[in-house]
Amino acid sequence: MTEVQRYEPLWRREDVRARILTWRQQSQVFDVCYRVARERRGQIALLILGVFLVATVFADQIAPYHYEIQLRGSRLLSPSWTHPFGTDEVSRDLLSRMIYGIRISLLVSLGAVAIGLPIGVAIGFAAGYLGRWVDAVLMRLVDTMLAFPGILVALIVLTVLGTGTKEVAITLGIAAIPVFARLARGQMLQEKERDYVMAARTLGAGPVRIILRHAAINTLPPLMIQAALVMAFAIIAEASLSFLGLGASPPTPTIGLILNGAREFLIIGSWWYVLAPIAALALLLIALNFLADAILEATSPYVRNK
Amino acid sequence: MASFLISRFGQGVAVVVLASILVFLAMRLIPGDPAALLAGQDATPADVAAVRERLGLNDPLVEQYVNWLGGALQGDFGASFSRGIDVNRLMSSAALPSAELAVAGYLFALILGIPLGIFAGLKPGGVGDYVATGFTMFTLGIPNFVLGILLIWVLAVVLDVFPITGRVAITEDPVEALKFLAMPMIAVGAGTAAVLARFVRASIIETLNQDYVRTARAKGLRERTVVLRHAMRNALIPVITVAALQIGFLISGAVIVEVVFARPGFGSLIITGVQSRDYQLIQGMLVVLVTVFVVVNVLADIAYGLADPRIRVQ
Repeated sequence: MTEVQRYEPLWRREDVRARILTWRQQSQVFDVCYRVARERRGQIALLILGVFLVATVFADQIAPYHYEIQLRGSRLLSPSWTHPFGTDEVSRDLLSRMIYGIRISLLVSLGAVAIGLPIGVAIGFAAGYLGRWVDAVLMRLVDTMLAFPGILVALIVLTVLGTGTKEVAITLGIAAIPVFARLARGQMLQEKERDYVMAARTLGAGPVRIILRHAAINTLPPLMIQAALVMAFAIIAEASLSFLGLGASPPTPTIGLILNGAREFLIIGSWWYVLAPIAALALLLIALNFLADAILEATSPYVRNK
Repeated sequence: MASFLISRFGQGVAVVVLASILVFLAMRLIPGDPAALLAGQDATPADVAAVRERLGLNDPLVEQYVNWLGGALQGDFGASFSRGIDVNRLMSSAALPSAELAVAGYLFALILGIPLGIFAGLKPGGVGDYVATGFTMFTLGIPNFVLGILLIWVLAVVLDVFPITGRVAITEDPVEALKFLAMPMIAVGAGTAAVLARFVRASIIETLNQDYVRTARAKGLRERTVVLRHAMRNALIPVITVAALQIGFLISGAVIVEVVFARPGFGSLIITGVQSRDYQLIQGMLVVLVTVFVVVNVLADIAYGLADPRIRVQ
């Protein structure tokens, strides 16, 4: 009885395991993250995105040169130790320009999700939970927006806003609203029939409280998948739009603008000029698609048990 | 069947009308006065007012919309602000090259994607499956306009098989026209081909697990008959819808790919429209594109209803 309880150090292996297990049992979102980190494709995705994220956050420290600096006498050099991706037609280091370019891609895609997700989810939750005429009106609007392919919505909004990087991010966010709204509505339709929602309603909770405090957390995993896919879409769209000259204006380095510059010099044999942006784009897109796959695998019992 | 047709048609019309209202209202949000833009820099306020009156910009919004819609229904989308030419003249000269590319890209996608999906689905884990998976991964990472640039590098610069940019009308010289069309067609169609292949594969695998396929095999039918007569027919029905949905993405993809290959068409028109905020041009083109998209989807729904009686009854 008088024996003193000995405290184990926090970092003991079985302790950490037990803790992770309780967290996983307590939070579905944590469980999904854990499963993603344990899965092969999830690991590849996290590795690629992690490297890109570090490189772009610390771009000023990591990039060998500033993206605008023109190095005298280094016009259109093929890859070498000093310029791993070569240089462009006005003697700028392509590695440095790529690092800053990826930064813009990531910022625009995160911005698109940051705008599209909350607005789309709010519309979807309202439509799904309230039903009746709210549902009818909101979903008609959403369906009409979905009748346009995403890029066309982006073109309409860009006509109104004018061109530029910030405008592109806002535009792509707006283009992503209907996708999130559709998904969130479907999730909410399922959740609102659950017993716990009925229980909360019996206790007198209003719709806002039920949606935000009770139901929202259960709709998260599919929305996470969609967020990864929307990021992939936004990266492609940003590259396309800046390639077309509707996004950032030179000398800002973006993947699209670098590709546009590279296209002319392909004909005279400067292959490295297109290679770096294409490789970066491909890695980003594959990582995001893998991430979406891994989350799906982690959340869907049907896929998981296969 | 009649009520099915009418309801699908009605839904299509509703979407087009709503879309035209959305586009119309969005274009009114553009800051700046289009009349001042059109009148030119040294126009007096009186000139601007005259232009406003002529364009009907002083009328109530509803009246402007009805007037515009009435014109649009008769093929009159007004004059382009930036080029000063009728929008429908600009569009009709751009329509043929764009349609040519979209149709070619779509055929390419169907011819490549469906057989690839079938091969992959008949033998999951086999060679066909690996090719299909690899192809899908490739198109996930390489968007259409980037594929266009890669094609220019490999097929035009290194191997020198196809001309890089431009277009020859197919009515003038079919062989030469196809040479110019080949690379843009692949760039436009590859993504759709991959989506189709993936979908067909899943559909075939699912169908081959159905009870009636087991019954057919148990009856002692030859494998070829089982696959072709029993499984394939059912597996390919849902493909109609997916294939139709892809057309929208194909058209918007073509807009960008056209610019990569410097082909005339909707692409360059839309870009000048967006850059100069020429809303007459943009709203005309978008309404035409959305209409094409909706018509294709309604036709696909009808085809789906014809192919699968269960849909009609619902």
